[in-house]
Amino acid sequence: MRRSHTISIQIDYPYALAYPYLADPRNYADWAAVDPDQFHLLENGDWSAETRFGGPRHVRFTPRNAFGILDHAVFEPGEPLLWTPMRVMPNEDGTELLFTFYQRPGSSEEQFQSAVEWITTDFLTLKSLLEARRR
Amino acid sequence: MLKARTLTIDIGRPPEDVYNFLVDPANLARWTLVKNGRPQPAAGLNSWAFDGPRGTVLVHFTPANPLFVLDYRMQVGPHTTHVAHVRVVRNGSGTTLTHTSVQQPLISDAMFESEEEWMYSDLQVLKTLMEGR
Repeated sequence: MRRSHTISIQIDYPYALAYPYLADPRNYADWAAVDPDQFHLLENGDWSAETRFGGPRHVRFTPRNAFGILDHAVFEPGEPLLWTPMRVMPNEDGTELLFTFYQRPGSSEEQFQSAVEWITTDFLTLKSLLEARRR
Repeated sequence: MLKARTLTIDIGRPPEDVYNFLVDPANLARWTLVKNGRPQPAAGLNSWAFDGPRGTVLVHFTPANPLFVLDYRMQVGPHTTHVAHVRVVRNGSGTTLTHTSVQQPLISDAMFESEEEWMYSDLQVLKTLMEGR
């Protein structure tokens, strides 16, 4: 088993709006570490991305569902998919977000901690972006 | 928004096994303090009654689903005392389980804190049980 770290964030933005926003892959580049100009849909339904941490990748998203599941896999074509668990849940008039990050094989403790910090920053960006829409 | 707390635990057993075990409400009596589970259809689909340490506990579960989500709501008397979102995810050949409790309006900080400690020790029992089979 891999080491994992789960980030949880409270977002003051209704779940009924947060889930459809996050479930639409077109919005992914608004907050994730990919170049918005190069993010595009591929013929097989995956998305092509230029990531800020390691160059070109493909991204596959979970189809819409009733549970707020937003798992996605960021991968190099041909390599096995490692799904990253992500979920949003309603909490009164806001949203609770969970994201679990796994340590990649061969990555050091320092790289793992640094990746966790970067990802936390992405989610704080997402939080302020969604909360700004409410005002 | 209500305060929420997420506990995570790694279990050395495939997620299919962990989920299939958890999704059967009768199994709750095997790793928590409640006993004698029985379906309570009058309280809604997937509702079960249990004998708890302080009387009857009614639990409403999310139906089994392919995304391995198992949310539940617990009721003691007319009050909802506990709401939680549970998810079982694959981690290599094992499982990472996340359990997010939402502090309900009538529950004090101290009580919530204590519930979370109980929940953490329950999850350790679940881990031992699942890894031991």
